[in-house]
Amino acid sequence: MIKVKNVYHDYEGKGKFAVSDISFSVEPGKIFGFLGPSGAGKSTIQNIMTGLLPLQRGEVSYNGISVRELRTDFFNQIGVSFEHPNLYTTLTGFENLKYFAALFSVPTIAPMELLERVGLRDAAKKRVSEYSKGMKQRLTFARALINKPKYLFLDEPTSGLDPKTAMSVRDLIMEQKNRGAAVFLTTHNMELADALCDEVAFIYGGIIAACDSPDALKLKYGKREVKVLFRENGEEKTKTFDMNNRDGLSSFIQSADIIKIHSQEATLEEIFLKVTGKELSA
Amino acid sequence: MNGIFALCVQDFKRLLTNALFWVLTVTLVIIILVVNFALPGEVSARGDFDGAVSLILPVSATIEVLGEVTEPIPFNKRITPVFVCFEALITGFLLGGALMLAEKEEETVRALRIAPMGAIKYLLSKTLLFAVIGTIYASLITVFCVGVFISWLIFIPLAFLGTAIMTLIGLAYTTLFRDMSSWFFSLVILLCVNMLPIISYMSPSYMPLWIKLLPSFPILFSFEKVMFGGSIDLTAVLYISAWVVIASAIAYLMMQKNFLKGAKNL
Repeated sequence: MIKVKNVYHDYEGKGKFAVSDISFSVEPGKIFGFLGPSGAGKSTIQNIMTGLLPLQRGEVSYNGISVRELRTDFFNQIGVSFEHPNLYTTLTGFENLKYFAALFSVPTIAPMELLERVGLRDAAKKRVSEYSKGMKQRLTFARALINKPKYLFLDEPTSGLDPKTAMSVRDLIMEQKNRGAAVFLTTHNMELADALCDEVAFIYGGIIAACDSPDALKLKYGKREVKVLFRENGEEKTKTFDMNNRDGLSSFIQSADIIKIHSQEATLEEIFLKVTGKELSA
Repeated sequence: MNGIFALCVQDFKRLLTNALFWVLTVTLVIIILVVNFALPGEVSARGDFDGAVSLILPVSATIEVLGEVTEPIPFNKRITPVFVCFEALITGFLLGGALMLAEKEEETVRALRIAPMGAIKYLLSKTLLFAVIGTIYASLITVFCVGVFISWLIFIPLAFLGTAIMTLIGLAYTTLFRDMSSWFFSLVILLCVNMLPIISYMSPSYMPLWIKLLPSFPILFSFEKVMFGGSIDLTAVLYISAWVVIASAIAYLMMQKNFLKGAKNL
C-alpha cells in the first residue's frame, strides 16, 4: 500500500508551497485518480512519490517503508508513464524497451509482446524520432509496464490518443489493477477517471479539495432528479422529476409516450467545478 | 552483468547515430594517413629529433655515447603515442559526455532515475563500452603507425585503463552541464590542460611536478615505452591505478549528486 501523509513541497524554500497537507492512500488492486488542472500540483506529488523530488515535509511510504529509506532495488517494483514522452529517439521502439528491460533485476515482459498490446508492433523497428506524438505516448506507457510493476504511476496516459487506442490503453490499465497493482493515475480527463478509478482526489491550488469514490462524490454532489424524454404531438420534449416525487414520475411514465429516461447524476467535471469553486467565477 | 552488456549494446547503437562518433572515427583514419604519408621522419636540421635536448657543440668536440647505441626513432612514429593518448583514449571522454547530455536533453534521465539502475551500473556500462572502443582505436593507430611488434600484453590493459579513466572523468564533468554548447566550450579547455604533458614528451627537460600529476602524463610516457622499448616503471603503474580509483570515486559522487538524485534534472 502507498501512503501519503501531510505532504508539503516548497520549490524555492521561501514558504510558498506548491502542494500543502496532501494525504491519501492507494491500496493494491485499486486505481487512485489524482485530478486537477495544469499547475494544480499533480506532477509535484507524483515526483515526490517516485523519489524524483526530495520529500521535504510529511511522509510517503510503501508498505510502511519511507520513501527516504528506499534502496535502488525498490525501483524494480515501480513503473512510471510520464506525461511528456522521454525516449531514446535514435533507438527503435523495440530497442528502447530492450534498453529499459536491461535495467531491471526482475523478470520482464518481452518487448514485442508489449508493443503488440499498445498497437506498435508494425513500428517496432522504426526509430522513435519517426514516431508521432501518440506513438511515443504509447511507447512510454508500454515501458512503464515492462517490469510488471507493483506500483504504477500514470500521468495522462491517454493524452493525444485516438479513441480506439485510448480504449486499449484503458483495458491495459484495468489489467494492471486486476493483477493487483496499486495504480496512481494523474489526469485532467474526468471521463477516464470516472471509467477507471476506485477513488479520486480533486487537487486545486496545491490542496486536495475532495477525496472519495466517484459514486460517493456523485451521490454527494449530484442532483436527485430524473429527466424523461417523451413524444407529444409528434414533437420530442423533456421533463425533469425530483426523485422524491415517485408518484408523479410513475403516473407520467404510464400516460406519456416515453423515449428515454436518465438519472441526473453529476459528472466528475461538474463536481470538480463545484468543490473547487470554479463555477462561481464562471 | 547481463544487464550491463545489454546496456552497452544499446549505447553502441546510439553511438552509431551520433555525429561526434563518426567525426572521431574519421579523425582516426586521417591520423593514420598523416603519420604514414605526411609527417616527416626527421624534423630537425641539427640531426634526428629523438626527444633529447639539442646542443650546438664546437666543431672540434667529440661525442661519447655512454649507453647502448640505438637507432633514432623517426619523428612520425615517435608522435604516435601522442595521437593514441589524445585521440583514441579521449573517445570516452567526449562520447560518454555526448550520450549523457542527449539523455538530459531527451529527458530519458528521468526514466533512468526511477529505474533500479544506480550510479555504478550506469558508469560501468558506459565505461566498459568506451574502454573497448578506445582500446580498438588505440590498437588501430599503433598497428598502422608503429607496427605489430610491441608488447600487447601491456598495451591493451594500458589503453583499456587509460580510456576508462578519461571516460569516468568525462562523465563526472558532464553531470555539471545541461546543454551541449556550454559543455563543449569548457570541455575544450579541460582537454587542453589534459594535453599539457605533450610539452614534457617533446621536451623531456621540462617535467614540473604539476604536469606529472595530470592523468595523461603516466599514460603518455607508458605508451612511449610500450611502443619503442623500455619497461614501465612502478611509479607509472601506481599513478595510473590511483587515477582509476580517483576517477571512479569522483564519477560516482558526481553521478549521485547531479544526475541520479536531486531536483536539478527535472
